[in-house]
Amino acid sequence: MPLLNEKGLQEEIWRELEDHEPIPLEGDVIVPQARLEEALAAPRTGRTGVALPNTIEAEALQPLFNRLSLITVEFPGFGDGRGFSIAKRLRSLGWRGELWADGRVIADQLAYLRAVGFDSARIPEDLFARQPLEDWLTAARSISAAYQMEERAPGVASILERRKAARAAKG
Amino acid sequence: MAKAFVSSILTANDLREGWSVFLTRDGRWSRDWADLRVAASAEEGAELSALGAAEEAARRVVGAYLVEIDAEGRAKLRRERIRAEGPTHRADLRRADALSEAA
Amino acid sequence: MYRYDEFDQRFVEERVAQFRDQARRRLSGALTEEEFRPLRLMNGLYLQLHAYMLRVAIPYGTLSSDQMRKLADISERYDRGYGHFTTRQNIQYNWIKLEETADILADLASVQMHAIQTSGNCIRNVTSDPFAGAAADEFEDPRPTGELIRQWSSLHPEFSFLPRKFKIAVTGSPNDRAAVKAHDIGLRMIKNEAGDLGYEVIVGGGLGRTPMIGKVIRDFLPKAELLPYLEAVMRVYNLHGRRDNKYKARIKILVHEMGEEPFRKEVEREYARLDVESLAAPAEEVERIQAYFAPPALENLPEESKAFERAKTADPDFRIWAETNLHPHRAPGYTSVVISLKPVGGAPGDATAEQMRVAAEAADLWAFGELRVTHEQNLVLAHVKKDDLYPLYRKLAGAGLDSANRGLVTDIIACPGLDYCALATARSIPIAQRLTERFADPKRQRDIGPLSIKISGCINACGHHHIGHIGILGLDKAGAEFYQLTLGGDPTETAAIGERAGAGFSAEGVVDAIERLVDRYLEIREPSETFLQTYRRTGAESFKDALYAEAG
Ligand code: SF4
Repeated sequence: MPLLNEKGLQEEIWRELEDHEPIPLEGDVIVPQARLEEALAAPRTGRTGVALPNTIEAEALQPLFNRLSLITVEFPGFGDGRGFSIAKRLRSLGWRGELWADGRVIADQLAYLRAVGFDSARIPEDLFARQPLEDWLTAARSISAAYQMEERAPGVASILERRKAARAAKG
Repeated sequence: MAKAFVSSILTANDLREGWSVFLTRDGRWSRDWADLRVAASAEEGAELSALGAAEEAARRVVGAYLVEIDAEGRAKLRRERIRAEGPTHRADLRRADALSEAA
Repeated sequence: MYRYDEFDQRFVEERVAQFRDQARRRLSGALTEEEFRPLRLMNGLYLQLHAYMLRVAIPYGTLSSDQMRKLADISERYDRGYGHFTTRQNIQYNWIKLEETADILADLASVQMHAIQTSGNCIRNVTSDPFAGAAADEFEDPRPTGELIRQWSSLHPEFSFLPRKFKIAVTGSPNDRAAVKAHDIGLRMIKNEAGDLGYEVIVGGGLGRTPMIGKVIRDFLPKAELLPYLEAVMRVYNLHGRRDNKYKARIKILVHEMGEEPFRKEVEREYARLDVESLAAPAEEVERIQAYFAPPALENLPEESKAFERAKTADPDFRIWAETNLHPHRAPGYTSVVISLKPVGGAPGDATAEQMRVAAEAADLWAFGELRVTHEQNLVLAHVKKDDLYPLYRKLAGAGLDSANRGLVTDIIACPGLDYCALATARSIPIAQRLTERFADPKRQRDIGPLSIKISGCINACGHHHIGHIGILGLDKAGAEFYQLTLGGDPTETAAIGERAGAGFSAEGVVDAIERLVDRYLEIREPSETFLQTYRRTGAESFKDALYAEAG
């Protein structure tokens, strides 16, 4: 499935665990939350990522942060915005690793996803066929400066900071 | 027991213009409630519904659905009559052909 | 009033371009209707019964005369020469084309307006007291707070896909003219014992299918902490609000199901996690916004105006209008004026392009070029010299804007109902028309005194029927329109949800039924008692009696 952000398509090297598949000892895998303990207990050499549903209490994961390399948060539909708040929380709890939005998000949400702390969005093939990369890149660039102070996508300026600079320039 | 089929016409909103429109016998979308294609049986109703879905997919209209009509060819529901004829609170907002009949 | 700086201007212009691109992608097929719908809604574009409807934001109900003239132009250029002012202090156009919407948004941007977040599951246009900055009883102008929230909530990345819509209202007066207890969040400015200004934070009010009065979850929030605290409330709602059932998705249901105390704790817990300092609006920014709302340069005038008194004696119609349509101003010699959009037989809240222009011109001549839209669907000129009232009145009268009925039985609130709205179950406007005709006699209206009738065309309650002294809810019963009455509702600081009166009435019967209620009130009221006071004193029984006695 295509993984993308405003810089373009990203390389996707992670493998998602199939149901009932034994935890592999090698390679980078994404495991469902239910099997996370099992995966972390295994003598693995590859990196471990976890796929979270959007009903998770982010705090629960905090003690495991240093053993994880990737977190994905499920978006069952683009209208279900819980993932935005979960990302916000994960970041404020100190998660510095990779964070993906996983599901049917749309091009017009990319800037919002980036602003709350996601690195990339992983979307289904059929959606990508209808909304090509160009749409995502255009949509992500459509607003150049935002009112929010904390939540801003890379490349989006802060209106409040610009105002401050303008005031300073006037002296 | 399945509900008896009530004769129906097909309505939608024009995607670009937004106006409510009705499918005519010759397959055009018209703002006027006149010369409309009528489905008289469940089969014809299904056909008309499928046509509506196809028209939506072709991005000509949005929100297509069947409207039941009475023996005089008018919409049975008040909602659908107002949709066809215009708001009732000002005479000048009514559609000119407000009372014409389907089919 | 607030003026855009270059950054605000650029923001709305980029937003117009963004929408133009979204509409293009809809027409090209890149976006399905399902995907496009929330995007167009977040730009105020609905699909209604007849056509697209565009809802334009009038933040906290304040606009300039130039903006009003632009609204008039838009109604002529892209619509059918009129607009509808709503209970949310916005304006709606009913006959809009998707193809032209980006052009309309560009026209709006040219006068510092937009349609951002006037719909959709996001933080909606903030509403406020229409007499803000002028009212005699005000602690502080609530509009700077409104503007701060407008900017903070605009395209908020985290809160644009909420479980459901989210409405915030602010009042700066102890007398609540913004119905703050009927909003998802209501902010009431108050002073604490130390004399500092802050907000009482009320959460979980709302009308619709499950009407609820909001609960106070913070008695006193220091002004500077507003945005971080809002963020905490919004995050709790975004994470925990129900998404399984659209009718249970508003925050009022969350507060109700969680319980007031656990909800408060959850918010405080979230709040404790936040870095309040970095989220709070910088002091210079608050000051910058505040400066735009500095009161206009008012003259030192005596309280009494000779010209005003003379005109009242000379023109009895003017006297009647002045007795009903003025609101006390804090400065001597000044008053606020309510321009009623409720002529007998008219659609409540509708104004023609020509009426909008006349109101704009009146604002230029006599009210510092500024207007307000009220949640009662009227207009307000906030700062008018009493000396100028007569010429102002004459001007309004020339455009049919002189209805002397503010707060009276014909000052009816009505949603668009089945004449326009795709969700409606019955019509609202024609009921308002029949009622204003029935109670047209000005003497009778004034004898009846303050009485608000509010009409909604379906359970969604956009006509606020639950908080009308008399509420009318239009429903459908086997294909016939039928109207249920509620009694004793109140939108103010003594907020109450009206009680169901009993069986409903037909479209023909409902006007007679209301008249029987009014007659009963006149029979049993004590001297100088209003309808609501009588209702509260006597209870529902004597009114129900009047409603249903004849049916037996
Ligand atoms: S109350 Fe119902 S009919 Fe009236 S505007 Fe709202 S949704 Fe439409």
